Amino acid sequence: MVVTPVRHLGDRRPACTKAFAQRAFSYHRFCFHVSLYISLPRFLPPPQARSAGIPSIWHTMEAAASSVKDGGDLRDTELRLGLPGTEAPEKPAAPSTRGSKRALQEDDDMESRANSRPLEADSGEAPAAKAQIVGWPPIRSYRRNSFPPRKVESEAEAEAEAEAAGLYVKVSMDGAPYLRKIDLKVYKGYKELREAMDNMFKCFTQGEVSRKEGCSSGSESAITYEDKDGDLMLVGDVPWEMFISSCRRLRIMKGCEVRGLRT
Amino acid sequence: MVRGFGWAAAFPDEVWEHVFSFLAADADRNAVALVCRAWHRIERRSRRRVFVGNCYAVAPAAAVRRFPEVRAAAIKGKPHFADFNLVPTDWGGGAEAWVEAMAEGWPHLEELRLKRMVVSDDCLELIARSFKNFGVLSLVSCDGFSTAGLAAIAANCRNLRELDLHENEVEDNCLNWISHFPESFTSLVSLNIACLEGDVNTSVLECLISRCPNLKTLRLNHAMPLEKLVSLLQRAPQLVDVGTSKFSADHHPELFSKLESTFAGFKHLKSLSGIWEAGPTYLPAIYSVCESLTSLNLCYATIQSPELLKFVSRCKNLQRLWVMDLIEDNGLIAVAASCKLLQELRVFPSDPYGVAPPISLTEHGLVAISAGCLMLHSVLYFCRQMTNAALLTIANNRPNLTCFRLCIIEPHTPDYISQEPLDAGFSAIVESCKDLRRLSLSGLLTDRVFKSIGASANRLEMLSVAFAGDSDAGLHYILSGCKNLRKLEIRDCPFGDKALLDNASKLETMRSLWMSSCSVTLGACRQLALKMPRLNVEVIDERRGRPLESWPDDFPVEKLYIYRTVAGPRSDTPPCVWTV
Repeated sequence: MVVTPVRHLGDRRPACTKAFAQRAFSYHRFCFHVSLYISLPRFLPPPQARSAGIPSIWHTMEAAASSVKDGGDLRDTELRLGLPGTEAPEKPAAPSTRGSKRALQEDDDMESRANSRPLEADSGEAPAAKAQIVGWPPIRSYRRNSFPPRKVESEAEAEAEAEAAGLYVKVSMDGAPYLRKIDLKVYKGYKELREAMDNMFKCFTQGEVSRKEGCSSGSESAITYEDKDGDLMLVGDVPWEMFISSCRRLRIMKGCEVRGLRT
Repeated sequence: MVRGFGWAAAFPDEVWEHVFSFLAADADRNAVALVCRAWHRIERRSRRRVFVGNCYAVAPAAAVRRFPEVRAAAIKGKPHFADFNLVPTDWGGGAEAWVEAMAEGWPHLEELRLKRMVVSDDCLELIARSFKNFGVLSLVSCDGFSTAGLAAIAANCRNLRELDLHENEVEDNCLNWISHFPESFTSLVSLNIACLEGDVNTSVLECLISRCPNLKTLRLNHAMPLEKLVSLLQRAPQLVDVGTSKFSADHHPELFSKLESTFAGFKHLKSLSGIWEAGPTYLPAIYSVCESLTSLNLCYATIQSPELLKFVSRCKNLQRLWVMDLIEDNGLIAVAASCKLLQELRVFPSDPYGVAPPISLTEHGLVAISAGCLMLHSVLYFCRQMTNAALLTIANNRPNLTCFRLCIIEPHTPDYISQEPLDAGFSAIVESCKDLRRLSLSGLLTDRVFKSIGASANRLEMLSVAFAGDSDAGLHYILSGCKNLRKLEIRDCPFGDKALLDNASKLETMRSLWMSSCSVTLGACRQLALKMPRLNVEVIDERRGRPLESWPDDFPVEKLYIYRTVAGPRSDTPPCVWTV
């Protein structure tokens, strides 16, 4: 997960190390920040912001600041998971609930800040929809970073959930601004998987993703995956069923790294 | 009174020095120093240990001048809330001023313990060069240094006994710093490198361990693979305190049996920590040490309840247990049944942001522990729900609590059964536990709880408050009561100017007060600073706009840090901090 700090004007930060990146979150009373611990994948700003020609981050902050004062329509400034150009986000409850939470905050006589109440109603929702309070709960920053959510650690539980809900894994492509998620159960084999991934990332690729199983020479990129031990493996070596059960994440690697993989 | 205290001269100074050497507590030595000039002189020349709770409370040169024969110093820097990213990174707490003064005035210094300070590599090099008999370096929650600084320490401190790096942020730019310990170096007793992120050269470490026969404590970092860990530990069966590295790997029967025999060889092991990412595969290999353990730190082990339960319930002699909430209520009930000698329990959240499905760790676990573990006196507990009834039960079961820190993860959470605030529960705690020295509050709380705390918590020294209270009255109750309060830290509470100004003199009896996201205005800070010249009133504001002088009195203060000092306003304030 990439941490994208929301930067404040005039903020100086020390050279980024992993730990310092975590400290880049701060908020104060008059400028309303939405502090996201788990950041959203890098996304394109909503069409309104792009057309206005303002860098999206500043637009979000200014709009958010004014929206707090006006209590106005917050959807324009919502950071959400939806693809650019889509109106309804893929996780429908999240933006509207957050909007209403902000309205609640107006009544609170304490200083305005990011949502301090998590969304109890939708505990099953995507984590990225929830805003975090700075410094709460009071745990050290290394403790926030070190532990993946339980369902990754417990393989039995993860598999049980996967059985029920479809096997969604993240797909990243080097150089693409955002990631995608696909359900591996939908595909019957490697060929279908590659075709689906081609379609998904068509807008980003200059060349073609290899169409053969395994990595053919002369292709510009290769599909790799991260297995349950955390190792990076080339897609296509093991039977499909085994692949599905051990794949945790997919990654399309580009040119120069691919050569290294093939030694 | 006889003028001049003639009887003090009846004995030579050395006799008094010897008498004073039996006074362990600094408070007692301070009292002795106030009796007469002779005792003041004798005491200051014979004081060997100095503890500075706030590095800005006294000028380094003054401290060094007053106690010229110090051998061990402990200094703390940033406020506690710096651990949770509430203090700007450039706030201060730099160690240079202290290290330079100590290098000049205390050449015989042997022990240095720094907590929450910014220590640069230059500082470490100065430490390494300046103190000939340097033996103990302990850095806790510090930052600003790298492994290059550690290399300097390793190379130059010939008599180093302890190197304790606990939860620091260390930049890794010198991969082989361990190899800087010379071949002739054999005095190591304790090595804790758990916070280092980079790989450590295992063969060099093995050589080091083999030639240090007095090594008792070895805490390794996460990066070392299990096989290497095993071969390392085999060389030091005399260890009393072990912190392992990553405890997960694919199952290999050979590795399992090697691990088993290595741990079976530890005849004196009392303390175990590390166990990063432990899976059920390898944990059974170390069952043999469970009986002898008195301290177990599993707070990095993401192992689930059944295996965790099996492991912990074998540890019958456990006095300190740090564990993740993956232990669940069942696990804690089992602990309450097996670990009758338990004194300290810390339960950390595995999933603080509520991403995964919730764990069944509730108030029942803590109630069971309070009932079963009669010697329990220190608790840190993260959970998601609590009731007044549970807190009452805990208070009745364990009036011997000295430290009670409860963190209900959602702010403003009421009693989930009655929907009432948790005032009654926490009041019961402070009323029943007469020796309570440290308390952290959470959940939905009104001013009533502060009234109880102010009235009953007579031994309380440190209080942490977040998202609580209705009005200024809450703060007033605390500041007008709590006779022994030393540190008060408050965030996100509606406490304002009146309580602060009405109790200004109380602040000089305390080490420090932190208030962030409360309702204090700049005008009150200015008044307070005028009224109390021996307080530093620091206003922290990260917007870096116009200077403080131009802001109006009703300007709301975001973060406020007030501490008593005899050194006056400090000279190293960054742009975001103003001493009013």
